[in-house]
Amino acid sequence: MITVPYPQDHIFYNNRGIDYGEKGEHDLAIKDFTKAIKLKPDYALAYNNRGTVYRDKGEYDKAIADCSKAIQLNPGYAEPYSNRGAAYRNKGNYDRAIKDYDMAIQLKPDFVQAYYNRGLAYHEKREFDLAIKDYSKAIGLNPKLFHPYYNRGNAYLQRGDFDNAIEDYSKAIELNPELGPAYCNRGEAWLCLKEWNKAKADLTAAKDKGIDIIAAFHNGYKDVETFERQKGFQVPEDIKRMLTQRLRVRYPKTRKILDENRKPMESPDVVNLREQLRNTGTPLGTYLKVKPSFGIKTSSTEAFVVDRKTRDNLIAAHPSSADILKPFLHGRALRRWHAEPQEKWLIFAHRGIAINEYPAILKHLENHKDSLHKRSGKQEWYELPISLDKSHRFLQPKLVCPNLYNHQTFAVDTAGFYCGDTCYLIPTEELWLCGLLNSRVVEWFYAQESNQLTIDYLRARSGYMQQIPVPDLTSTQKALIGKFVDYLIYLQQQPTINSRDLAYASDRMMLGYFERIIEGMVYEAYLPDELHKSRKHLFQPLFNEQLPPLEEIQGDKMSACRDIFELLYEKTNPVAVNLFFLDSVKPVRIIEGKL
Amino acid sequence: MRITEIELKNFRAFPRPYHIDLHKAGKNLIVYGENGSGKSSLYLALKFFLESGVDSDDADNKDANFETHQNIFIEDAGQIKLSLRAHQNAKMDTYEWSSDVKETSDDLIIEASKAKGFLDYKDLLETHYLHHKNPVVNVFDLLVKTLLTNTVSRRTDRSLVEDWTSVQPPFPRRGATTQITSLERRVENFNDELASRLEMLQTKASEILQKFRYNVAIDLDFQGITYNSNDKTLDNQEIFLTVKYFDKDIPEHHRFLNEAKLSAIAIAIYFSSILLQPESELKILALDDVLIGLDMSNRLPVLDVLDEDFADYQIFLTTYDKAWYEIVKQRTAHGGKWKAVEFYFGRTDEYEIPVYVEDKAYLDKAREYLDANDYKACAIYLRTAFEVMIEEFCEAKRLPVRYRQNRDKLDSQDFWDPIKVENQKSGILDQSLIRDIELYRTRILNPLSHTTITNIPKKEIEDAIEAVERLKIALQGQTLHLAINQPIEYN
Repeated sequence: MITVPYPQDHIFYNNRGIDYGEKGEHDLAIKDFTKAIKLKPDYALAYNNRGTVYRDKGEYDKAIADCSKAIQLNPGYAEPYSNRGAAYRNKGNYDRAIKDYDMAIQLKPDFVQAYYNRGLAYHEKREFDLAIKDYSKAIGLNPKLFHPYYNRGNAYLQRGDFDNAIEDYSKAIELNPELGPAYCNRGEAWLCLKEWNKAKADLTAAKDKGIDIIAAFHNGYKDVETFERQKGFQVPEDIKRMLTQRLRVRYPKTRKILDENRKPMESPDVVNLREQLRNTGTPLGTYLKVKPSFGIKTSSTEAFVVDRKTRDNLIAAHPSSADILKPFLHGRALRRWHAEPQEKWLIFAHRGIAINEYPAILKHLENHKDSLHKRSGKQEWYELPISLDKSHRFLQPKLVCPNLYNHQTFAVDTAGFYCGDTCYLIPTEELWLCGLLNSRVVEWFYAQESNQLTIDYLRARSGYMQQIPVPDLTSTQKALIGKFVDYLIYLQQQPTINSRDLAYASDRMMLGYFERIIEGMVYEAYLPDELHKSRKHLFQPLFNEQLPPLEEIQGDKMSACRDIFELLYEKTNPVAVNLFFLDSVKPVRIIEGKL
Repeated sequence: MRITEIELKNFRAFPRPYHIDLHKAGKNLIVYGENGSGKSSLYLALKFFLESGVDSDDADNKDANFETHQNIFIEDAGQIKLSLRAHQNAKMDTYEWSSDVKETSDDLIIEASKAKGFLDYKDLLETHYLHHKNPVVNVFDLLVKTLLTNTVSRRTDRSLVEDWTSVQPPFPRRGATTQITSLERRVENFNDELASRLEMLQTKASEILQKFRYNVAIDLDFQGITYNSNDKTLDNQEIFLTVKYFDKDIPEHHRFLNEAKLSAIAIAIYFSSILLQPESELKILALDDVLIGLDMSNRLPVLDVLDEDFADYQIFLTTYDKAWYEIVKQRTAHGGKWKAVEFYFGRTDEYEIPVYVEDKAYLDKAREYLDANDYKACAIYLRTAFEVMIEEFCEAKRLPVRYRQNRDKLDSQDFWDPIKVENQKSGILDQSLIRDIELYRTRILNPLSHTTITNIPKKEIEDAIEAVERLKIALQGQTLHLAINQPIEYN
């Protein structure tokens, strides 16, 4: 037989559309059905078919429109009711879905899919009895389908009827041995029945079939502890481990070789890079003239740290209060680059303070007398554990960072904020160090050295902080980094940067790009040979641009910054080119986790 | 820096060694090929070669692993070799990627990969349905998941698609404030990068559209995605595309935006995204069948854009549209910047191989292999020549050909039969030619006979070549009419 596609034939397009649809080629299928409809505008079949494909694609409104059209063209046609119901169900409109299924079943009493789908709708409405009834009807009409068994099992499981659930899952698995979710849920049912070995076997099978059993369990119960609490019994350790989220690693180890404990081994590249960085320049602790430290331990923070209203009241009650109320920083609220006022004040009741000279303060502290007494230490109950002569370290220029942070968050403070022990302080006038310490190289090195490699917060630890290597740079290079730190301090305070208005998105990208420029210079500082071998230079081209220091910019500093951004992001500018291709340098890829 | 030679062996559709010479100048390449003929394998060879330089830690990314692309039944280990020259007189460097050798970790290749442009027709399929019935056209998915995947964020130095992945589920539990804040920050980063990028793109893309001869400007309206922590959903995944004639809105612009125009806009946006970023030394732009979505009148201006805006790039175009291929070939014939090649599909008893022909000389190729005593290769080229010839004839003369769901399954019988039927009416072929062809069709031109082909005397193969040549002459310049059978409806 010889036939050819005759382009004017609606049936041909409909049929080919079905072929495409069955192969999952949704777009081609839709195109064909559309063509068929164009050729025969009252072609209910093609409308229904296109609706089905739209639903498969997740375009439910279009699916509903098409099915409605098919119904309108041929009101006795059951399929589009069922398909429209499915689309309503996908949209979460279960009542309308059920109405459509009712209609479909009325028109075609042995319509298996409609029963099954109505079961799903009831199921999602958590009307388990009705759902089970519909699934059973579908099974009665066609016992070869595994879906109704699986879902009836789910309904039983949710009702707490574990034996029936297990029976249904087993039937579903018999009909389709590759049905991973059935193993997973049967495993859950066994768990509820404390059949540990069977549970373990099923969970393992589910995992082998590609099911993320941890996520599935998390969706149902949050975690094993919650499950145990709900059920009132303990789960054996080995199963517990199977169902517990492993800690995610902050930096990939760059090698998929496992050691004897099946943990990924560190690649020599990582070990060598860490060693190389460690041997660069001078450790921060040695480089600094003054030792870094944490802020004051203000335990019972509510007693010593007050808001603006309390501060004003204290000063109004007695003017002497103003002398020991100091502007204060919480570590948690710090952002990069610039330490902003947080509208908090510290009652600086240092050791040996003549507390009676500050009657309003004393009265305030007396409200907390009991808890203050419980503190350990040598100070009086109304004192902080710090002497007056230590206060200078707050007043001099310094870098501050939170004691817990996700990414390097150093800020420059030249306003003399006092800090609690949620802050780590580095007294220095060399503000370029802020650029160095906020870089990814330093974050990578610090996380590696202090062995904090999981995705959790990094914790500031003075011993490790002081080991951060400070590369040897010329004063010009330091000044260049410092220039950008100054730009960033300025930008961080600008309203357009702090807004969320997308009209100013490019201003915020400028901030990100300037950070990236510092990043590039810091890479060059630590890894000059590697970068230069690959012809990547940042210091020289940036130096060539002769950018003005922030304080020398006349007029509108913001528009001057935007001009600098535009200049340095121009696609042929060597700064832009070298930054864009920086990650062709292998250590950069290791540090940025791009291996 | 340009590619001057490409060598492929046991890579996807290429079981045997293939060598494509792009000459010292590193010419651009236009490839014609049927589906399954290996043209997409060439596209993928280039793409994966460039991308293989960076070791991926992502276990799902198997494409970076050469073994994935090898046919394990072929003992010969596979490889891809690219030879590069900085300029015509520069020394040639060859880089190899195979299971054993990986010379692609070189900066040059890694950078070429980051700046490259690779777009295939599947990427643009979505444009065909975007406008359907909708008064507004939402191009969010098209842009984020396809066209802007190469775009690198200035803040995170990650591609937009990586930034997009970083805001995907699993979402934090309700009440997990720290994780939610951190997710929201990633969402803001994503929004900022995309919003500021779209601003640059719409200007550049409008410029390019003008060059495509669409006298319009596009506007991409993006209000930012938002994370809804109650429903755990990412809302407002919307970028609305509108089109203006200069400064005037086109009232029913969704009618204006037909498939071809949307394809053109998509291509313009893709080109802009590449042109806005820094260029690597080795600049590759590969377009696998993407231009066929455009109207013919707009395809030619695209060639001009490639010529002007991508002058420094080495361009690889592939197409299954023969007419378009011929036009490009003609247009690019002078100037010596382009090379045109054709791929045909060959089958042997062992495996399917693409038959690679530079400018249709497959009969000559068959003779070449005959002279080299490689009967097997000779037979493949001869059969390809025969199949292409009769298929083209049926197509050109609109002869009714048996309908097969899968066009690849059509074989020479399917084309030869209608020619014989037609011949009973018009008598264009003499009976002795038909007898010869029938004879050689079973002995030589049949893919299943190749196991024994070495036993066939050389003379007989020569006669077969001659018969096909006679057929070629006989088929030239004939005209016939169409007959139609009614297809059957099913559901």
